[in-house]
Amino acid sequence: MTAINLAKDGLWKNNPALVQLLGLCPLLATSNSFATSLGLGLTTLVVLTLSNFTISLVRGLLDEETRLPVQILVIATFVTLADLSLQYWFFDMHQRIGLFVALIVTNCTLLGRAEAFASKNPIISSTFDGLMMGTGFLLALLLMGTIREVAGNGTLFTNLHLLTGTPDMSIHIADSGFLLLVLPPGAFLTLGCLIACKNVIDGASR
Amino acid sequence: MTTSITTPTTTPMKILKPTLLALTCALLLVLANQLTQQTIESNQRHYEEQVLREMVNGAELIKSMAGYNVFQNGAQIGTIEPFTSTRGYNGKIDLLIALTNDREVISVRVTQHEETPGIGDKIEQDVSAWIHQFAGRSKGDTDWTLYPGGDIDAISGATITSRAVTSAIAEVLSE
Repeated sequence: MTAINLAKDGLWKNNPALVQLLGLCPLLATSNSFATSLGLGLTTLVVLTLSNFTISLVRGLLDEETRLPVQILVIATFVTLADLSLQYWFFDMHQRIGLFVALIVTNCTLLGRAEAFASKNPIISSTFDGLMMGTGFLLALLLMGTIREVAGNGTLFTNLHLLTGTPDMSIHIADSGFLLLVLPPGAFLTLGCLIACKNVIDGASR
Repeated sequence: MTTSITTPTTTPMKILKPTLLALTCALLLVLANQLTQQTIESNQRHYEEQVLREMVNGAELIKSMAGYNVFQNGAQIGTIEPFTSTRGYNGKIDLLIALTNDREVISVRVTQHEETPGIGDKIEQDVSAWIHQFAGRSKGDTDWTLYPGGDIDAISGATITSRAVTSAIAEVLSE
């Protein structure tokens, strides 16, 4: 697999959120605002890249029977480290997404990439695969966060300053929005529309 | 007994390798915990303190039996009392209510709730300024029911939530 193919795969053709439909729990739960999407997306990206790197690094040591538990162990370790780091540097943000950070460990994108790619491929391409899949997930999450916050709440970038440490940079667009989009059903509707859009684009370019 | 399933062969190496990996992970976590614990705890305290001090405009706080005593220039000027309303739309609403010695409301904050996002969550001060209307009110000078009829403006679409918060404050004031 060349780097370009890996990038295409992670970002578009095999996007973990829009095509593989993996990691739906955090995707649906944290995509109601741009800031929470960015927080959870970045955390997932970092954990996925590090876990792919590590699993590829130790792939020679593992055999059939112990591979899966060890992969989960590695992922859980990195998720815990990420959780501690968030509490260390971004405590306010952790108050909002903390619950879902712990759930990254159940994000099937991570175990999926570990098992399907990192346990069979060399370190560099595994790390790159993690980076690309993570970026694909992050972009899908950001897109959903933007749509849901703007259309559902009439704002954008609320609470983003908790992550960046700069003054409040929320943009007020309207007094209220189409509330359903911020509620759980809105997450499914938005994701469905995004998948439909992607399929239309794919169909048109075929 | 005949077995058609091949039982996996267990060699010491097969056990040793994952065990060593698990130990490495455990060590890493212990180390990370040691390094971050103190800062995280102080972050937590700082966060809670910030919320409380903001409620009383930066006055001194000393923990009491039920909540906090508020001091300014060495004299007690009021209290912060926690209260949980069980009459929310989706469950409990935890409140902190700061009162002067004359039991006039200084400020109110919602610390935990399950109200509907986008509707009932307007009781959070981060979401809307609704909760600020209680400042300066006391038991006698206010009709503690919702407008019209009472003095408290409800959040549109969240009457039950508004009523739960309002009656919770009224209850604390009557104590």
